[in-house]
Amino acid sequence: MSRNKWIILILVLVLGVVVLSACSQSTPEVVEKVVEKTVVVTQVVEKEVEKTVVVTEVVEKEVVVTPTPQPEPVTLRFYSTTDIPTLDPQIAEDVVSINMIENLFVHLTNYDLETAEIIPETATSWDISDDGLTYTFHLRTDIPWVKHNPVTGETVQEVDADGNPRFVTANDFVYGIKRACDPNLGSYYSSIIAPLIVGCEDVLNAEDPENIPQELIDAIGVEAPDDATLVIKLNFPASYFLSMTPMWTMAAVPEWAIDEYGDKWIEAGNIVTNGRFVLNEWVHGVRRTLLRNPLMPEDMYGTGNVEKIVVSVVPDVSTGYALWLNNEVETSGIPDAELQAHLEKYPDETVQVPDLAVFYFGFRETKPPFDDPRVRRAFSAAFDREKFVTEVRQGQGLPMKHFAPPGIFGAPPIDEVGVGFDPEFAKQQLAEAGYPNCEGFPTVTLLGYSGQATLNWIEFAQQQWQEHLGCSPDVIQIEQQSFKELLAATSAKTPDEEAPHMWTLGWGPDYPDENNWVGDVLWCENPGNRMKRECTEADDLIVQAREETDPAKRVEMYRQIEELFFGPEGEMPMAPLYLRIAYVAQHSWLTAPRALFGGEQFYNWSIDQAAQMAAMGK
Amino acid sequence: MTRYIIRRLIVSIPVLFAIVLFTFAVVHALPGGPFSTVGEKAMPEHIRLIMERRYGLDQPLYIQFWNYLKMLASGDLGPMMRMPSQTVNDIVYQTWPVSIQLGSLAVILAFAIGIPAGILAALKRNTWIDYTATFTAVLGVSINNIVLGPLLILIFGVWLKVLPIAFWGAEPPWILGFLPKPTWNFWTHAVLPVVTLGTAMSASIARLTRASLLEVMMSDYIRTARAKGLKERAVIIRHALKNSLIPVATILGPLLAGVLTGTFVVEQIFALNGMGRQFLMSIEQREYFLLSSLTLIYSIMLVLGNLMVDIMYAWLDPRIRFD
Amino acid sequence: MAALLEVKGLTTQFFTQDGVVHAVNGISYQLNEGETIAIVGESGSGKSVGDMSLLRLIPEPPGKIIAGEVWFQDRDLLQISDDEIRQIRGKHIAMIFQDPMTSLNPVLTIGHQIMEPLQLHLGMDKNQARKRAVELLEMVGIPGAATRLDAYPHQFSGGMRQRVMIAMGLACNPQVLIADEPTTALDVTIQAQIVELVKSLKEQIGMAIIWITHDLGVVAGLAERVLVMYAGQIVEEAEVHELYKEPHHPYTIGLLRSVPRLDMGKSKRLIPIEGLPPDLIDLPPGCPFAPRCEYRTEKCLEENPPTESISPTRRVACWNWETVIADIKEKGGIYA
Repeated sequence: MSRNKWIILILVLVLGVVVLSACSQSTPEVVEKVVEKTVVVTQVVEKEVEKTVVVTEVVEKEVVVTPTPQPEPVTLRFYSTTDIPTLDPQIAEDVVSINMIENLFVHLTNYDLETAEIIPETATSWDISDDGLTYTFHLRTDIPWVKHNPVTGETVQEVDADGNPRFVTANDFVYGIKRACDPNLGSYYSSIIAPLIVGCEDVLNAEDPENIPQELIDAIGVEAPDDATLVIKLNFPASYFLSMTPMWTMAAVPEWAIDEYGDKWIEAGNIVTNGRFVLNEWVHGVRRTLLRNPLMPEDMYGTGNVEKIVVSVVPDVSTGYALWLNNEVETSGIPDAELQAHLEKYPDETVQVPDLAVFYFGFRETKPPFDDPRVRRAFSAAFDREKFVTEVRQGQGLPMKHFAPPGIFGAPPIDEVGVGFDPEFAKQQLAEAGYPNCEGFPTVTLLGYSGQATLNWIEFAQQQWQEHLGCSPDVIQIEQQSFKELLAATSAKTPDEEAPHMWTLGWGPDYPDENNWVGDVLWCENPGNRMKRECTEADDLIVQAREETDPAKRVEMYRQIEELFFGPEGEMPMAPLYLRIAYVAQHSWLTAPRALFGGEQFYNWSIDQAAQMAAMGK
Repeated sequence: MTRYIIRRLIVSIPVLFAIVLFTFAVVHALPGGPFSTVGEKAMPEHIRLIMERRYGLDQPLYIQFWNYLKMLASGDLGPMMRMPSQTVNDIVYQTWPVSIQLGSLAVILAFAIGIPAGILAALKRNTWIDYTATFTAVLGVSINNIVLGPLLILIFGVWLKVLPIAFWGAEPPWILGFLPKPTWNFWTHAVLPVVTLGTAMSASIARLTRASLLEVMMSDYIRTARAKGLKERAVIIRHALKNSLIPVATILGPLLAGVLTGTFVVEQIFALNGMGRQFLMSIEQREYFLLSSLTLIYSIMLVLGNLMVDIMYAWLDPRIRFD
Repeated sequence: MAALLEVKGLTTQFFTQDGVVHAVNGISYQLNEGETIAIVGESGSGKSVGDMSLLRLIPEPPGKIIAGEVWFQDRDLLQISDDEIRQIRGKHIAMIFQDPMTSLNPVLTIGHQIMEPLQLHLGMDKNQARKRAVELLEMVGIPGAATRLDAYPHQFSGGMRQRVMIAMGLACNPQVLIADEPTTALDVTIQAQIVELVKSLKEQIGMAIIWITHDLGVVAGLAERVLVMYAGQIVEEAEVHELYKEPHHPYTIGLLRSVPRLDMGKSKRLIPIEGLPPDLIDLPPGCPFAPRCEYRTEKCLEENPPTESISPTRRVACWNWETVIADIKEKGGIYA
């Protein structure tokens, strides 16, 4: 019996705790006090002296708003499938983080949503020296560093040790860019900018990363002659450098806050930002909330009217889509199973969003029979890309004949360069290679990454090669492995015997320039040369093109390069297949110009709040 | 009993150690590491080496394991290698309570429904009540979480709009470190995930209770009880029920393991920030420390769960003595 | 002597998937106050079903009492309400069962199990019931009764458990105690102890006893009257000494032959009854014992003999019982 009593006692205790905590919950809700702050900034530039003096006056005014119904802030709600890995611009390397950073921090330049051009942001203008080695950026100095207090809801401008308000200066960029060269951050994007900026690679590859000599750091070619001027020196006249300047990696960061909080500086309440939004809440793994930064210069507000952003973490797209159906989020991916039904039911609430990722079959050029370019051409040309996009991708893609997609500087028009699908050509090439109708063709391996989608893809390829080349599906041994395993198996270091003949991969841009495609993926001297290419004429052109300062000439050179790779006489190190385009469910009250490159610019997104509220039944 | 519990706990320490060692070895044996890829790209070699050195991944495995044990001994579950602003301790604080709340509510629901349904079906054997209950139970056992979750979302969230589709209704800070604030918001958000996780369990409990009660009702001591002139209700409640729960208790162990794995799926479907989701993520991202620590926590929970089953078993059946 | 309990034409059947099992086929007998009768028969002869039917303890379904009357205290136990029969069970008519290992609830203390009928029927409170339970345990000869109330059945030996069962049965001083093979599961020395215990308790309390057994050996020193059952029927009824002296039914003779006796010479072997008991689902039209009977005639195979009273104390169901006696006499005993 005593055991009985124990269990009852424990039950009562647990219940008691629950009930008690329920009672303590019933505190009345506090009417929120809204504090509006007006900041008057006066900027006087004295020309005679080559110095910029910034005089600032902060006037605080408190307006207490009492019961009168307060308008709901215009709220953008959506979800990401993971939590934000980081909010540190120099560390960020994934879409979820970059989307947040784009809105929390200003960048050196911006990426125009319509023209894909590089346009002013912090830098209002820039000069490039004649030798193409020195970039001088002229910065505006009226962007404040702010800190948002999630508890009080106040956003306050940061002050320095002397009590002076802090604005974004060229020095903050110097700090940020030098920081990006630090190998200890472990950032992928360090390796993207390091080859360009003088001294950056020396720091990144320093022998002893724990003790990098100060001289090396000082030698990095980034300087701030004054608060409004940023000078970046390049190792070679990399003509694509400007296209990298809207990158998060080169954003200004608050040195003092990083020093104070260490790794935790990005947490809500600690983080100091300079963007259009502030971080109001970051419930890890659950949700983050962004609010408009009230201290942002008015002309940087953006074209959108969104005042508040709530991003939840929803790992499962089906669940996210259900939230969308229920009008709980403005936009969502569409699960494959629902796609056809969605397109029929909500044609007006569907948008196509390309992410500039191109998918391809890679060929091991050193592994027979794929050491013969004719075999590679045959396998590429025997794949009906149009049919694949329609039937397998359910329309979510554009067929690609060459590597770089539209929206990338230097990419040839989508249907002009490359053989693409040509069954006659394919047959003929395979016959010339000594395998007419695939006779005598040895068994080859095709490695795909795991997942049903990839399986559908490679099975479609098997069919195509049977139909157009006469290769029995038995000849193509397919295998699926996790992404990490696939990368390891196809690495240039993996011996040919262990590497597959063919594999599936995709490439998304780090910066919007052709050099990031042919230069960073196909170039023979690339450490990640998975195809194990020999250097050819095309590689000379790749090196030339990245230093060519004349944009028109560059465009022509890249056209040649793509032709050398994917034309009828081309080397065909890979079979480019399609540009990924995702159908996205998006409610009609949201106007959301998508960024082809970089983070989404939520400050340019608008919501018809009346329609949104009506749909929610409010 | 107390001595038995202490002995069991001491015996489980080497088991836990072995589990952690095994997980540690297996996860390190997986191809690729936390820094081998960045999204869909390969991490530059040089940076990978630096990062691996920072977290000691360049050391021989036994040294890494020894360091990890030392870390555990000081209460540090390890760093998050790909999310440096967080530690594994932070993650566990955020997610463990969610899983434990979800799991406990599901177990409570499973018992609260499964046992009465099983009893009712047994007592009304071969009537429509029995058929309905049995049919529902078979359905409940056979329907997968992966199917049931989205189905419930569709019906109650999207069509009827009576229950929230996703998310957990409680967040840190927790009461007493792991309890939710029992708000209305909490309960409404809990319904669908808890039902999803608890249904299969309650169905198996119902089926087992029914079968076991039917068997018990045929036993000699029930005849004895009836021969004493006891009312049928007293016969069932006082004489049959406790006996019929003994087999039910024996499946509790496997059931608890089922709850743990069930939380993986349910957390994913309902966007709950629980340990199961982190576990899956940690495998994918090769977050060695997170994965090893979560495995350790899961193992401890299973050990404690099984101990609780044993205690309950002893309470139900006086023939069992553990000392 | 007035009849305490009178059974008339009791018929119980089980409805199974294979067909109707004719377990008890119209048995009639009476039990007088303070009397001990024994019902004897092989397993499956319907003796247990018969006495469980008295208290309506047959699980229903599949069992069902098809016909008959059971008169006790001017009431037909088969007709009264469920509540009323519960008032009889355990209070006026108590039962103890064959297997003390399984007949006690393993998860309840024996104190709890003994106190239950006391609280239920005699309206005792917990303390009174506890006190009485101690007395009862002492009465059935359990040492250290007070300390053992909180023990569970598995902590007792088989014989002790049967004593507990008896204590439980006698808790409310019933007029009738039905003992359903109470010694079968026990070893021989314990059997004798239990028989002695029941006998002495009977002297103290004075209840009537229906003792069901398949072992004619146990019956001799215990019962006053014996009913022999075969295939759900009473084939012979006699006072105990009459039965041993001069059995009338060939089946009774068979039973007696199969009982080992101390006075039996070493050369004599036990004689089993040839053949198997009949299938109760598919009973032959004639006498159910006929296929195994050495005295069977044509008639036996065609018509089932009624249970005939042949003296005030004797009944037999056999067409040829007179031939049987004559034959036994001629041979000089049943073992010849």
